[in-house]
Amino acid sequence: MRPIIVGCTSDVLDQRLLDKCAGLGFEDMFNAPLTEKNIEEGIMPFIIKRQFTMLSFKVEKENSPK
Amino acid sequence: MPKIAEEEKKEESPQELQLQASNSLGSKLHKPRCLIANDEEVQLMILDLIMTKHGFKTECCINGYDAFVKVQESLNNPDLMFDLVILDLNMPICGGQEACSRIDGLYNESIMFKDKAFVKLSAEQVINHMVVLPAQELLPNPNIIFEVPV
Repeated sequence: MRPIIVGCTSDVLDQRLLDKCAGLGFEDMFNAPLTEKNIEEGIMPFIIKRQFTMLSFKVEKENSPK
Repeated sequence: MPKIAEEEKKEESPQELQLQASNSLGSKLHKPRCLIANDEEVQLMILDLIMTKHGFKTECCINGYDAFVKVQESLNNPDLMFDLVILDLNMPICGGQEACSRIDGLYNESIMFKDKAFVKLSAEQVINHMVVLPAQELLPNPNIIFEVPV
């Protein structure tokens, strides 16, 4: 499964930089240094969705008839 | 006349979702792996601490090339695959932008032969691709090559 890739930069996160990074495969971009708050609000939702996908796959696999 | 109760669909917050997952599935919860690439030692250390606190298993590196190599190495072992990669954009040797497009390329790798594409996928990737592709059957190997009509 492809990892979620996020970018962080200490440069000004303006439209020019976002356009430069568009299409490279970043899920989101953040200003460095990353803080507890933007990890919780910006990155964790991606991961929680991912965990659910993987869990549902595992549960289905365990429950499937052999 | 009986009243029809309408269920209000509330959008659940990430914290609620996480709590539900922990309660219902307990120890089965997948421990996510995180790769952090940053050339500044202090930022790397802080991110490592924060992500570990959030339950991630972390790996650190100081440039984009190392990040790419670590992701590439993890492809052969589903247990070592990363769920999250945090890339600093400005790093020596290979920056975050180049590393991101290279990592993305690893997952989009396919070899085209005339009218067919041969795609090497892990078992988990197969599950994902089945949603998109009209796959006829699923072979439960960790790494398989199957034919995709184009």
